[in-house]
Amino acid sequence: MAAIDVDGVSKRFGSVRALQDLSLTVEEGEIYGFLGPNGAGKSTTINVLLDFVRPDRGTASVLGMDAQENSEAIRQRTGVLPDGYQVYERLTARQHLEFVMESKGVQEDPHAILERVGIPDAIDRKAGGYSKGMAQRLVLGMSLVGDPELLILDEPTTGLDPNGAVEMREIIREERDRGATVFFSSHILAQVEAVCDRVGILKDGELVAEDTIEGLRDSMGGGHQLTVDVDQVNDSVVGAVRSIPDVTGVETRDSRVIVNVDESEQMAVIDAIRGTGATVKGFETREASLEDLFADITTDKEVAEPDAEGGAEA
Amino acid sequence: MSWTAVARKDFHDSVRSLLLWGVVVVFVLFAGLLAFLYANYFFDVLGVSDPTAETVTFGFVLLMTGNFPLLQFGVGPVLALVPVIGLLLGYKSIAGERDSGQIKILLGLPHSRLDVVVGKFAGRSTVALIGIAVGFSVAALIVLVLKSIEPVIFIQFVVAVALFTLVHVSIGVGISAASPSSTLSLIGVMGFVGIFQVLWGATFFVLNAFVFEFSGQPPDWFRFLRNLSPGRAYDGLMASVVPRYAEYKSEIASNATAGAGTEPVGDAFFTQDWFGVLVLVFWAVVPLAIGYWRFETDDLG
Repeated sequence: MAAIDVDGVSKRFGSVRALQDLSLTVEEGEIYGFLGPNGAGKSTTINVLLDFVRPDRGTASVLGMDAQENSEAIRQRTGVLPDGYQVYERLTARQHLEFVMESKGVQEDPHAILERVGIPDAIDRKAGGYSKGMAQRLVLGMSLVGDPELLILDEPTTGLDPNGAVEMREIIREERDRGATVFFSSHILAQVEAVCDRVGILKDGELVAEDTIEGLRDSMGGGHQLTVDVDQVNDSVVGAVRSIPDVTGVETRDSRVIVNVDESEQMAVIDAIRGTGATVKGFETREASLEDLFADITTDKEVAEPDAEGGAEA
Repeated sequence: MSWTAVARKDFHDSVRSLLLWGVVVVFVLFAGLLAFLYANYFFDVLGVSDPTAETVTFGFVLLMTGNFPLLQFGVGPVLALVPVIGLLLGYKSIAGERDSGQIKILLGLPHSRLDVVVGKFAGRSTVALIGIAVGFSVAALIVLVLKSIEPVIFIQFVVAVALFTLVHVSIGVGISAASPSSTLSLIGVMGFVGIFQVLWGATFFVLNAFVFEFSGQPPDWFRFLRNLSPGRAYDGLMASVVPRYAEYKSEIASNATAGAGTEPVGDAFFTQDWFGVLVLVFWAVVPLAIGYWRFETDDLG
């Protein structure tokens, strides 16, 4: 049985298409990274799983139950770290955890949970005074109450410093090793790459890739990136490069042409650029990072903006 | 039964905010001040020499409900204050959590949206009841010290006030449940106050004056419609909960100068006490049910 099974889900908000015929499956016991730029529909997908939002078409099932019909039973067995939440500013961490325990009908030691998420000293402080990172740790702690079978974490590293993000990943791994399924979303590939068994990439409400990290790497033209320094970058150069069948991505930065292509076809690329009359001043090749892949998949840019390098997110 | 967890959480939150204390203070000032004024100044208006505890108590009850001699044309203090308090207690209960995103914490836990609506109603009602209990205890103490008091009648009266308050908490929570934001919810409850506290009486008064020219007996449909507001129904609730309320009311009214332009009550069904109770049951249930339905079917983005 799949932990999460989304089948053909579409959802519009007014004229905005949030999800378009989305299907994905999360297997039991795996860590599934749900990746995509902001606004791709990640939170909408999670909202459908939790029955905050009802799809226009399609169905979602969680832990073998229909997400709409059995939402309460699902949430009984699921730990949730939502996005865009706010903690109860007048209640302490202890009171938050006690509320979760009462809601789920379990009894645990609040101090041990806060110890685990790294804020034991805040146990009797009102959450209104917490930093964003502390609130995030508290809600993560709340999601762990009752050893849920499934963790749904929406952008869990938001507000955490790099150290906090590492601790978050450790907890995610511990939960998986305990037997839980973890479904978490992020717009930052590095968060996902380090910990996920499988990744799904969402763009404009559609799943554009779903694979293991290795599988994704293999799927991108041998996983190599060729950077060619030329004297002039123009449309004919880009066109010539794109006409080579094995090229899976082309972008330009200043006087450089960056090409995703298998190693064996690199000379063909150089020849093609020369063929347009441009002079190749130099080139280098390296194994593409998933960052490149992610950028390739989630952006449409063919000729990059001049300042794309500085303006790109994360 | 997880609404109890929601209710308890909501109440704890209210205790730590100004909400509970604000409500307690308002009721203490309101009931206490009126009790003080009543015992010291207004009581003589009743023109009762050597009054029994029962008379003293009913005098206070009639003052609070706006049926006191000389003051009977104004809106009674309970009718002026209680609906506003009840609605204000409710309007942010659910819409406020949607504004802030707290609702995502709440509904990430195994609660249904019905649990949320019922739990919020219960939590806010508890706050209202504590405010009323404290406020009217202070009032009772003041009247007792300065005059005397008949506890059973007074408690019956407070129960009626409490029920009337809960009706408005229910309306406020219902409007809140139906509203995607607390701004809309506030507009909703202000609209409700505007219509039923201000426009309702004024509209029927003007119609009565110009269409029926105070003929003394406007048609039944007119009187039926007029009796559908919560405020008009309140007297029926009072008479149903406080057994000798109606009797004292007419007695004291006849002691004072007969009110000009009063219509004969008649015995149509919509003038009966039970009809007032029925109207209040309607107001307690229907807005909350509609609010729940809107909340249940809405997307919480």
